[in-house]
Amino acid sequence: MAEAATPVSPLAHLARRLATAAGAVRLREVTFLAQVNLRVDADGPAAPNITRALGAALPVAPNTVARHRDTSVLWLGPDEWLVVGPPGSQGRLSGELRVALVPEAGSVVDVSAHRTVVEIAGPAARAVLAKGCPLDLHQQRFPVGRCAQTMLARAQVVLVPRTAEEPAYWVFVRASFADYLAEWLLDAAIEYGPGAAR
Amino acid sequence: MLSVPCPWCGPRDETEFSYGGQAHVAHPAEPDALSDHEWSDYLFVRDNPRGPFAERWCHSAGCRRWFNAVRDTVTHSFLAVYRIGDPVPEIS
Amino acid sequence: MTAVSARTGMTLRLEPQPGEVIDRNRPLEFTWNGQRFPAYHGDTIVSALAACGERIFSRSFKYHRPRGLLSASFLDPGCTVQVGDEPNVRGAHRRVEPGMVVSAQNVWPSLRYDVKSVNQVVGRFLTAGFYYKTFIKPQRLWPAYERVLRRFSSGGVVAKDSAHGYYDKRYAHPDVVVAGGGPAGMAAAVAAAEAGAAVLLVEEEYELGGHLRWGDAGQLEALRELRAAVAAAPGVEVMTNSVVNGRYDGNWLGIVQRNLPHVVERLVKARAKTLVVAPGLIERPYVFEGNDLPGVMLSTGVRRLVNLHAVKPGQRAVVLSANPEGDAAIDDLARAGVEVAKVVDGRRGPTIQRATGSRGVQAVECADGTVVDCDLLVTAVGWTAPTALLNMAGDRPVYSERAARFLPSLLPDDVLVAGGIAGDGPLEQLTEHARAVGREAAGRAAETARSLCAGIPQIAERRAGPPDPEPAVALPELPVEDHPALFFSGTRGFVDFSEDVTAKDLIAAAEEGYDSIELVKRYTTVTMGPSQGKLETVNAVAVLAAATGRTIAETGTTVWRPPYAPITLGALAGRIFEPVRHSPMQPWHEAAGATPLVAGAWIRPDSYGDPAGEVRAVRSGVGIIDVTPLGKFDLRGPDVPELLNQLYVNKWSRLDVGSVRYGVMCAEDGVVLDDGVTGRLAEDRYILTATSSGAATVQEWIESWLQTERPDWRIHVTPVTTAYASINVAGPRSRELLGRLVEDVDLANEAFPYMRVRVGRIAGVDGCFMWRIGFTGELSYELHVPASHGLRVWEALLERGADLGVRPFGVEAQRILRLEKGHFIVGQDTDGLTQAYGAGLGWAVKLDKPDFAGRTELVWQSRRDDYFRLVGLQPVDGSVVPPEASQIVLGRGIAGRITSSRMSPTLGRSICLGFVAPSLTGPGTQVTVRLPDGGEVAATVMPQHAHFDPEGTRQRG
Repeated sequence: MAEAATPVSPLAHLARRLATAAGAVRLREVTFLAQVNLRVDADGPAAPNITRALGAALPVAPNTVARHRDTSVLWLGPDEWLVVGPPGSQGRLSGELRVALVPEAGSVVDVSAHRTVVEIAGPAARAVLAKGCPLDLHQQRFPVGRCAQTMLARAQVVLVPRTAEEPAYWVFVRASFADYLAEWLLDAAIEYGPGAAR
Repeated sequence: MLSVPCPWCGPRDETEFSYGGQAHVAHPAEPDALSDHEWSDYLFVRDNPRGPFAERWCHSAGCRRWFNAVRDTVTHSFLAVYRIGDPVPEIS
Repeated sequence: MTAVSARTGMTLRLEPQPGEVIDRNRPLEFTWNGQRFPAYHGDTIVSALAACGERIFSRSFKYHRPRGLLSASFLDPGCTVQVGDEPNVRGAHRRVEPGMVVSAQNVWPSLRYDVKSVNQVVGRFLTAGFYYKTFIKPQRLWPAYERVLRRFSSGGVVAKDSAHGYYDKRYAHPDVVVAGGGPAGMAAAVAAAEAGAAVLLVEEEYELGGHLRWGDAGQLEALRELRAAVAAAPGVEVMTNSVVNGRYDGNWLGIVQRNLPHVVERLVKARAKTLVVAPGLIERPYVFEGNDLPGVMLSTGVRRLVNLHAVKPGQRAVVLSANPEGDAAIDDLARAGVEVAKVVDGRRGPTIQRATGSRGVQAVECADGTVVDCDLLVTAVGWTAPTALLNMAGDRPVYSERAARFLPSLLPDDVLVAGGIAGDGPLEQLTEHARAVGREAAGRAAETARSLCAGIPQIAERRAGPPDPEPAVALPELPVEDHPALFFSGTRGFVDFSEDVTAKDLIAAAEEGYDSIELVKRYTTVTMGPSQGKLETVNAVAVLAAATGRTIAETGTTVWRPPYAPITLGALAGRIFEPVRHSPMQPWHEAAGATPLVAGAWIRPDSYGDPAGEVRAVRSGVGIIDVTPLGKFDLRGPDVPELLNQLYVNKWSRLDVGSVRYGVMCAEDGVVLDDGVTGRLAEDRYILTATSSGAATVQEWIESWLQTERPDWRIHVTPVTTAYASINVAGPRSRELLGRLVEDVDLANEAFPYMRVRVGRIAGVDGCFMWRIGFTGELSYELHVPASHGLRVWEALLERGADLGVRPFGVEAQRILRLEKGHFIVGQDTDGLTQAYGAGLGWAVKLDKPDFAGRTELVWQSRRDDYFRLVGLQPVDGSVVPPEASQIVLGRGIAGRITSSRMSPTLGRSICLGFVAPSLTGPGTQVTVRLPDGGEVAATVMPQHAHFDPEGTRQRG
C-alpha cells in the first residue's frame, strides 16, 4: 500500500537559484542531516556512556564543537547539545544515546526535520554573513571548533565554521525560516555573484 | 545597542536577549498567606533605582539561559553577571 | 581650455592650482534649471556653477531670500538643490556627473524671480514662532491654511515612481575607528595600525586631507606624506564620502558609507573597541545685518573655492580676519586676482556694521564709518568644535573664554580626541599628538580584546586580537591658543541660515521669557536645520547670553544627538526582509491559488477562493487544513506533570499514556495567556501545544519557570514546532479518509476515542502521531508528520479522499467553523485584562490545586461577579454581520464589544462572540450593538458559546 516515503527538504524548490548565485560565494542546502537534541548533565554518570556512543566527549566549553568522523556535537547550552550526523543516522544515534542515558534523567529528541542547513562558502562568505550577523566572524576569533547560536538577518540560527582552508560555514535554520533566510542570502550575495561588477 | 555579557556565550548585542525585570522576585512560596497589599506588590510593584540594579536577562536567541546581572541604570554598564539562584555579588 | 557647447563659459575659472581636485582632462556637461553648464570631473555642483559666474543657488526656507555660497562645504546652507529625483542634495559637496539634471528647490516660478519671496514683504509677521500665534482662528480654515503654507515651505520633490536604490547594511568589528580624515585623523590611524590595530578611517569629503587640501606648499607636501602613509599602512580601511553618524552605548557606531560602486549607501554598524574623534574645527559665520547676502563667504569657503576648484570667488573683496587662517585667505585672494579693497583686523576691535546690496553684496559698511564697494565679503571670526560625537558619549564640553570655543572635558575610556577639537598648535605638534593618541587607542583596544576573549576557554590560549603595542605613553597636552570672541555685530543678521532665524528673533524670544537655550531652540527652531547647530549653536548661545546678561558658559549649549549628518531613509531601512515563516505545504497552497494571509509571521492560506464552501465541505464531508504554525513542545522527564499542574489551571497529575487534555495557561495576574492541548504519547514523552502566535511567549514562560523558579524539577523541553507538519482532518468522513492512509492504528471510535493520541505510520511515513480533538466541532484528527514528509501526506490525503469530496480549507473557514462551535481564540476573544472566569473558563479552573500560575487572582475572581463575560450573541437580523470590535452600548455607556463575528454558512445567519457587562449576561437578553457607521442593531445573548451542536456530539462520534 505505501511505497518508501521520499522526503522533501525545505529549500528543494530554491535549489537551482541557490546554485546559480555562485560567484565569490557559493550557497547550497545540506539536506536531511540527522539532528538529535540531547539534554543531559555533562558531569553525571551517563557521561562516559555518551562519550562511547558518540566517539567523543561532550564539549562542555560554551559554543564549541566536538567532531568524530562524520558526527559533530554542537554545544547549545550548559546541558544541551545538538548531535549532527549523516543523513539516515538519526535512528541509530537516538537509539544509542537513549541507551547511554539510562538511568539518568535527560532527553533525546530527534529534531532532524526541525532545522535545515545552508552551506555558505567561498572567499566572500564572511562578507555576506557580516551583512546580517552581529558576531565577529574573523577566523581568529571564530575558528573551526567553535559554534554560535545567534541571529542572521531576522532568523535565529546556529552558525558553525567548517574548514580552515577557505571561509565556509554551516547555517542551521528552522525549516519554517529557511525560505526567508535563503532569499536574504541570495540578495546579500548579489554583489559577489557571477554577474557582479568586479 | 547594549552589549550584554551572557555568562556562557560572552558579550552579545542586546537584540539577542529578552529582559526579565527585577531579579530576586520569586513566586511566593505561600501565595495565600500574603495580604492583598503584599500580593499586589508582588504582581505590580518593582524597584526603580538610579544606579546599580539587579535584573534578569534571557539569552533568547542564543543559549536560552536565564541569568542575573547588576547593571547601572544611569551609565548602562554591566557591573556583574551571576547565575540564577546565586546571591547578588558585592559591587565595589 | 577645450571649447564646450554650453550657454555659458567658465568665465571665473582660474589657472591650474597646485592642490586642485578638478581634472581638466575630463570635461563634462550638466544642466542647472534647464540650462546646460560645463564642468570638470571633480567639480562640485556649486563650484562648477560658480566657475561660470552663478552666484545664487537657492531661496531660503521662510523668507525666500536669495542665497549663495557661504562655506563651500558639506554644511553650506544655501546650496541645497534637487538632483534628478533626489531632493535635498548638498550642492557644495556633491560632485557633478555627466548629464546630471540639477534644479533649485522650493522656488516658483524660478530661482531668479521667486514669487514666494513675497514672504520678505510680510516678514515682520513671520518672525520666529509665528505659527504659534497666527492661523489659529477660525478653525474651519485650517485645511486652507495648510494648503497655502505647504506651498511656501521648503524642501525638494520626491517622485513616487522613483526607482528603488540598493541600500544595505553590514556589521563590523574594528579595533579603532577614527572619525575624521584630516591630518590628525590620518596620523592617528597610521599610528594605531602600526601598533597592530585594525583601523577604520572615516572621512566626510571625497578624499582624505582636511584643511591641508587647500593649504600652502608646505601643507600640500605634508598632505602627500600623510596620504602615502595611510596607503602603506596595513590594516587601515578608508571610507571617504562617509560619515560616523552616531555613537551609542559601548562605542556602537552607525557609519553611513558611500564610497561603494554597487550600493547607494551602506549602513555599517560597527562595535569599535576605541573611537578617535578627529573632526577638526568648523569655521563660524559672523552675525551682522546683511550676512546672508550672496557674496558673503567664510575664509575657508573662499580658500576651498580657489585652491580645490580653481574658481575666482569675486572681483573686489573686503576681508574681516581675526586669525591666521583668515590672513592666509588674503594671500589666496591676491593669487586669484581678486582686488582686496580693505582688510579689517578683527583682533583690533571694531569690525563691520553691515553688508548691503540687492541680490548680492555691493558694499560693506565698516564700524569705523567707511563704506567700501565690493562684491565679496570674507569673514574669519572663529571656530566651532564639532563635539557631537563626544556629546553622544556623555561628554558635556566646557567653554573656554580665552579660545572662544568649546573644548572636550570628560570622555569615557573608549573615546579619544585628536586634532583641532583637542587643542591648537603647529601642524607638527598636532600630528605628533595624534600619533600618540592613535597608539593609545590601539593599546586600549588590545586590552579590550584580551578581556573579551578571556572568558572563552578554547581561545584563551590563542593570540586573538592585535599583538602587544608599544608601552602606553602619557598623552601629550595640546596648548589652547587665545582667540578673540567675535560672534555678532549689532542686533541684526541671520543666526540660522537654514531655518531663517535672525538675531532679532532670538532677542525677541528672550524678551518673551524663553531664556533657556533649550527653550529658545525649540521656540525659534534655531539649530534645528540640516546642519544641526554646527554653524549656528555657538552664535545662538552668544546672542542669547548677551540678551539675558549672562556669559556663554552660564548659558550653556543644547545637546547634540544622532544623526550627526542628514541620513536617508534608505540607509536606515536597508534591504527590506520581513521574516515570513513557511510550512512545508506552502508551495502547494501557492500553486493552488490560495489567498495568502500573514498571521503571526507565518504565511498561511486564508482560503482557496470559497470559505463558505470550505465550511460546508467540512460539515458534510471532510476537509483538511494546514495547521503547522501550531506551537509544539516535546516534554520529557519524571516531573512533567508538576510543570503542567503549575502552568495550567486544570489538573494534570494523572494523564494516562495515550490521552490528551485541553489546558488553559494564565499569567500570575490571572489573565488568560494561552491555550492548547497536551498529549502523553508514551510513558516519558509528552507533546504540549500552544497557539501559533503565543508559542514564543509560552516557550519563554516555561523556561523561566524551569530555570528560575523550579531548577530542581527534572524536565527537559525541546521546541519542535517546525519539526512536524501539522494537518487537521475534519468532518464526518474524516475517519473514513484516514483509514485509507493510516496503517497501524485502529481508528474505530471505541479503540481511538475523543481526546486520545496514537503514534503510527501515515502514508508510509513513520514517526507520526495524531490525536482527536475538536476545534472545528466535527469528528477530526490532528496529524503531526515529520516535516520533510508533510507535503507528501497532504497530497496523499487529497488524492485518496477525492471520491469523498475532500477539500482543503483555510484559516477563514476554520475561524467560521470554530465560531459556530463557540470556541474562543486567545488574543481575539480575550484581551490583556481577561481573567479566566471572564472567558467562561470556570469549568477548567481547579482552585483546589495547591498552587498554579494565576491561582491567587482567580480565587479572588471566583468570589466576584462584577466582571464582563464572554457570551455567544446572535444579531436579531441574521443578515447583519457586525464588524469585530463593534461596541455594545447601554444608555450612554459602553457595556461590551463584539470580539468575533461571521456569517455562518451552516446556520445561514450571522453569529458572534462578545463581552458583555454582568447585568446583560442572562440568556435571551437583548443588547444594542453600535456599528462603525453609527447605526445600531439588536443582538440576543445565547445560553452558551456554541451556536451549532452545543452538545458536542459530532466531535465525539
